[in-house]
Amino acid sequence: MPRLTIDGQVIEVPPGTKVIDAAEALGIVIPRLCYHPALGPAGACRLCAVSFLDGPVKGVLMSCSIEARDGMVVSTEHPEAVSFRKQVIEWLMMNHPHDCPVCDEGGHCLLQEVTVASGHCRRRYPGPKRTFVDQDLGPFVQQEMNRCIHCWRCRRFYQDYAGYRDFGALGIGWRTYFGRATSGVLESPFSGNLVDICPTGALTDKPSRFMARRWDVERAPSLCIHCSLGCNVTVSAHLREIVQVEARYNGDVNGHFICDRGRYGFDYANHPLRPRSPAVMGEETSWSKAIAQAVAGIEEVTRAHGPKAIGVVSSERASLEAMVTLSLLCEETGWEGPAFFQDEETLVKNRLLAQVALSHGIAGLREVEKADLILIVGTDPICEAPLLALAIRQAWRRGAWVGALDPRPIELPLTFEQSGLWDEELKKALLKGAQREEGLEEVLPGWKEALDRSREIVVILGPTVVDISSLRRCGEFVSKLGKKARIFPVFRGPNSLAASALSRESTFRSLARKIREGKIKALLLVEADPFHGTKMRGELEASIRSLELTIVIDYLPSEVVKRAHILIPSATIYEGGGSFINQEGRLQRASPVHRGGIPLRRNLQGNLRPPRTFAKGPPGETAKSSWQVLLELGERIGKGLGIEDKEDIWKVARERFPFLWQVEPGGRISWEGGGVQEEAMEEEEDPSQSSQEMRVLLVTSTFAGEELSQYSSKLDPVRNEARAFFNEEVASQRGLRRGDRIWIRMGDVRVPFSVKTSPKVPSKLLILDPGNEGLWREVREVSKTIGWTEIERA
Amino acid sequence: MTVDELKRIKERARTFDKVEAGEVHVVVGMNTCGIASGARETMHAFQEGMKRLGIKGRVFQTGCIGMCFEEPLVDIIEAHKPRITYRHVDGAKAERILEEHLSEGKVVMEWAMAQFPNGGKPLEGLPLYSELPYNSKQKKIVLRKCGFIDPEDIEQYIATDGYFALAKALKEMTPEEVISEIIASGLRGRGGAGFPTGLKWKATREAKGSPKYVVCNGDEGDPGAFMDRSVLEGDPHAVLEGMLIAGYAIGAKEAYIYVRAEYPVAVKRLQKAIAQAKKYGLLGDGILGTDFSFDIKIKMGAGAFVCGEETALLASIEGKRGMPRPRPPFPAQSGLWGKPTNINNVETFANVPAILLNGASWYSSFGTENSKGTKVFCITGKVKNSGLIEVPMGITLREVIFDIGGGILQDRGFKAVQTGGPSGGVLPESLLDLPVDYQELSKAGSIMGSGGLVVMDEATCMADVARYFLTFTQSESCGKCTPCREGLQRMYQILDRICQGNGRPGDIEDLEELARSVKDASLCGLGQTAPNPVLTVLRYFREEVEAHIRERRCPAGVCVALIRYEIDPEKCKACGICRKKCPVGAVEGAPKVVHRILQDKCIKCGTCLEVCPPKFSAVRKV
Ligand SMILES: Cc1cc2nc3c(=O)[nH]c(=O)nc-3n(C[C@H](O)[C@H](O)[C@H](O)COP(=O)(O)O)c2cc1C
Ligand code: SF4
Ligand code: SF4
Ligand code: FES
Repeated sequence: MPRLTIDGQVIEVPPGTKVIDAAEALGIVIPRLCYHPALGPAGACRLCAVSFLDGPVKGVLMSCSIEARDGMVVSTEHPEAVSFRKQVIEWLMMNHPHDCPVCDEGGHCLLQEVTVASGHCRRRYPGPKRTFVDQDLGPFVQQEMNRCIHCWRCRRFYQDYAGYRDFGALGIGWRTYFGRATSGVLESPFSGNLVDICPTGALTDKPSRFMARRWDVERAPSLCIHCSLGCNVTVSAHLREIVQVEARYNGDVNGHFICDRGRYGFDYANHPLRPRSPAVMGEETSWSKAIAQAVAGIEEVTRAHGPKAIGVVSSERASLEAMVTLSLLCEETGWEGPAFFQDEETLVKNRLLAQVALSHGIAGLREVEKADLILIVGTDPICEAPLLALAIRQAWRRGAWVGALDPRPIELPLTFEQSGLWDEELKKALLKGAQREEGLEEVLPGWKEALDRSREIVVILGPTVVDISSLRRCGEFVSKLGKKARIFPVFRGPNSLAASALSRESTFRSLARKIREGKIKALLLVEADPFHGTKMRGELEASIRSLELTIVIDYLPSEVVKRAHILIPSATIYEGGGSFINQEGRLQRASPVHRGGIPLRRNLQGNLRPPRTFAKGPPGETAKSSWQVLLELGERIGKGLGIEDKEDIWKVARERFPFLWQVEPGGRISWEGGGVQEEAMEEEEDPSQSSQEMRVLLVTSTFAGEELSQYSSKLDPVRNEARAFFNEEVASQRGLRRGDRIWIRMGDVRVPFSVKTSPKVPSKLLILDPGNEGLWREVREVSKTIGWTEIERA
Repeated sequence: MTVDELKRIKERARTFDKVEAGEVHVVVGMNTCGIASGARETMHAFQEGMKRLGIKGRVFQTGCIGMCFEEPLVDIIEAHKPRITYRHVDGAKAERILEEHLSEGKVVMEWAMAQFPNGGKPLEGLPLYSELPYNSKQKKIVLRKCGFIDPEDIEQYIATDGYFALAKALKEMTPEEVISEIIASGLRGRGGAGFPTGLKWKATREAKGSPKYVVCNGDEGDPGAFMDRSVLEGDPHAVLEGMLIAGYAIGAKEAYIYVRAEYPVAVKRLQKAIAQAKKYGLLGDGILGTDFSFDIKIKMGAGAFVCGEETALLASIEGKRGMPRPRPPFPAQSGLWGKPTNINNVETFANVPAILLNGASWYSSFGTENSKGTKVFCITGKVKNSGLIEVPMGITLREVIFDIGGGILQDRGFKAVQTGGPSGGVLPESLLDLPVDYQELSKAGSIMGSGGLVVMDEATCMADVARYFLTFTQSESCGKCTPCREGLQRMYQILDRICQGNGRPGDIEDLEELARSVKDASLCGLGQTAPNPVLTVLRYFREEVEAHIRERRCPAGVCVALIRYEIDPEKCKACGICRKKCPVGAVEGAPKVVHRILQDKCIKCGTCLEVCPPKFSAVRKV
């Protein structure tokens, strides 16, 4: 371990550490612009110059490019180094437009900081400043090239780190331009990171442009709950509106970056139709009246039909606090539930996945980045857990081999093998893999060689397109690979793992069955919308309509909210905070960001003023998180849980659910999984398939399909149209080509789709991604198979 | 292929000089310089003419012999007669040479330039080639075959001892011995920085990692430089042989030659040379019966100056944007695709076979203490003989410019010479006796560079020169690092202002400060050397720059904004010529009325000065 002296302090650092990082470990932050820990040194800005006074190298040199070595004596304050850095700042400021008053970077601008630090204040060169013509880079990133100081971070992130090519450096010399060949929407689903990574106002956040000065916003550390990865974010709010989400560094989880779904999916919290006030039978009412009505309703149903007539539904997006409160409340009252999953199959798959992963060694994003062999089974990373794709790319850049078994035409920013297997074929392949080391070579050429030289394997496994027995096969297959293999589970929601652990046998489908049988008369839905992603809308509609009482606690203007007898609004993660367990079992906590309320800006811009309620607190404020509402309900029906605040929940939970709570936030839980009762599961029979019919697989995409971000208007411009993926050959036999428009009839609705073809799609499969197609919501039942007679050209 | 076979080829190969009685060999200089002067047509004329006139013999092509200013050059070789060199042979001249020299045996003396005795009796009244002043001070090692073999015929290369150095290395020497020999020769890299070649090979050999690569840098982006192109066009096999030897020495099997796509002739000849070497078993597996295997690929560059910088060049080969990266790690440790890579210049490699054949001590007998051997230069600018020369290190600038270059065009006064390409320093007359070697040039504030030599006469403005070179370097900066990108542009703007007559006190100091810090702070050699012309101009020609600022005067009369044309009313005879010729109608006057120049209309093209009849000489430039 090299030992070196920096500004008189001695430090020992691991070999390969750059001097700039060694200094930082001592608390000495050497000015820098181009260096970024995730991107490495570029030696471009020349700002990190320090004096090497003694040791293997001497003189004023770049601390970002030089590795710490034994005997180095470094001075960051040597007059030579100081004047060198000052000169660099002077160069950079020569062409800088000094438009800080109207720059959104102002207040958190690295360039401002280093300029002030250098003492530069006088312009010595009277020449004209360089100017550029800006481009429109789409809805997320605002470009102001005149402010660019050419640190090359954006290009290095976009092309090298993330692997997309449509944005980069154009031209050379002092005309070097960072942009696209022509204006146009950035293609990468990670484009928003450009905003974070640009140290100046050259690339800023477009949706929040000119909305607030940095020092005026309310900011707090939070979590992204738009998929199961649990990326860490910092959220900014201004005038009761969430205005911006930025990546927050967490070396154990997301590192420095997040995806655009996580960054721009927040707008559901500002949704103009968001429930802001309690309502009974659609009429707004006071908080106390609504609670009183709910209590009365519950008591009446209980009196008439017993506690089992009340079903409780929640979802994978509910916070751990809500889940725990609900579980305890059900125990206390004898209500049916809580059901966190749609149906038995989903529940069993989630539990099984959790169990398989936890018992084989669970992997998170860091393990993916370090792996040298990555096998993706039944997951489309970019669509289901976008940031995972970036982690896979980092492994690939270091030489990892990547293969995928999935019927969807997966797109990743790297080179990989894919075999479009599904169902029986997938099962067979996995079985072969579990039997013989080289078993997968047949379907994934290169597997054998990669396996032979691999030291760390990660199998990425998702429960959406893989059936139960394939999941089980996959477990066997991974145990065959031995100790060096881990499983990276990809769940659907931000709290799926906790939902699996806390679930009992109830699922929404089992409750629905009881509604039809007349056993359940009332439903309490907590941050759950059974209509989201349902395939049986007709049936669902009927069940809900037959209920005597529907109480909904939620913050989304969801479909079930519209059908609620009693609606009680709850706080979003931004107002209430909350704890979540991510896909690798990491317990993480989000702080509240602001009090919330009806955004002021909207009122000032439109013709409305904030409603005058003459109440305490801001108008439309949702003071309570769902778990608080639940506690109050419990209290009022005489089933108090003796819980006052969050601390209490955590305490109770630690006793009652030790497997979830024995770690401090930030740590990984050590639940072993379990409780998978497969017998309870009636495997669905294969729908009999005539040769004319294709089985249907419903999938979602990056910006369409995830529940919360569906309600975010910021993502509207990038949501994809509805797509139907056919096997290439099958499509061409039918005269269909990529890009053709078709109608697919489902019941009495005809839904338009755009045709996509790929040789990877199995020939008897039709993959449907409804995208942002509104008509989809009118389909009463999604067919399990579709024949060519139901498909017509538009 | 075995060494014996190599020897047999050497015997049988048909070279220029192996001409049978009754036959004629016609050799046409077909480098880019020759082709640009019309050599293709000349060659065609000879081929046609010989057929038509029934002359027995062959027409050969060859590379650049150095005298680009005399192209197209044609040599006529007949048995037992001196070889005659003709200059400026176009199609029409070819006809007469065909008729008189080839058919009737009469040398066309008025176009003949020189002769090689070649065992024949020298002709009276025609200088020997080696006695031409252009040649007598040169020493050709790298260029020794250029002009004497057909570069597209591997057998001619073999016939002139080609590939025997490789044979010697593979059969008689260990890789370590090869490296020691190169170290002992004192050969330093000819790409500019002058790093000892043997040491670089040693470092690459000792570096951990495999495979290792050999890369030849033929980017040659300096404006006005064509040394490497001439070698690649005139003797491509010498470069291949040098690379093979390097590959053997460092333990590499694969190599790349990076050539700019603007060198189509060089690329074509290299492709041919590689194909032939493969055919003859000199590239590929098991070369010369040993277990040494080697393959060379050509990579064409798109012509960015910075792509000549080694790390940028390697990035470019990898398909990335050609941009330098910080060193260390040096390519010897981590080069192409992160593997140990030895990168050398074309000329460096071309020196290698001669060193191995003749020995290190032979090579190091040329040159000076710290700079051994010879150096190829492209001498251009205001000299009489501009072209390609190879001189022993240590020769003085005066000898190069006045003896070889023949002095200044139109016998004007010498003002300055710039060595080392666009980022070399500009040296004044007082330094004409400076010996050309790495150390001396660097002490004077210049560099050896890759071998450009631009000669400037007294009518050159040094402020303008400094600005000119900055125009190039600032627009070729890759844009990566701050000092070079921002600093050079700012230096350019200041100089431009000075040349526009808007200089202000303090500008020179600012320039100096900027130049020094750009030099110190830049990431790669481009930025580190680009300020050299400015610094040397300020060092040696400061007064001239000051005159621009203080007196708003351009002493050389070049800077358009600072000059004026005036008509002396005393001398003007109102002939009206200048009035008619002025392209913008800036001359006022009428018959019998003394003319006057309207200064705000005048674009300072100088036409009036040119056209005013010498007997009046009424127009003057002030
Ligand atoms: C801006 C710049 C341009 C260069 N261009 C060339 C070039 O055209 N040819 C060349 O051989 N070396 C060039 N070099 C030098 C190379 O970086 C490198 O030193 C050389 O190829 C090493 O070979 P050598 O040791 O044989 O000289 C250039 C360097 C810089 C900084
Ligand atoms: S746009 Fe921003 S990130 Fe990109 S080079 Fe310019 S300052 Fe750096
Ligand atoms: S010195 Fe110039 S050419 Fe070299 S890296 Fe810097 S900007 Fe690029
Ligand atoms: S931070 Fe080191 S050069 Fe930019």
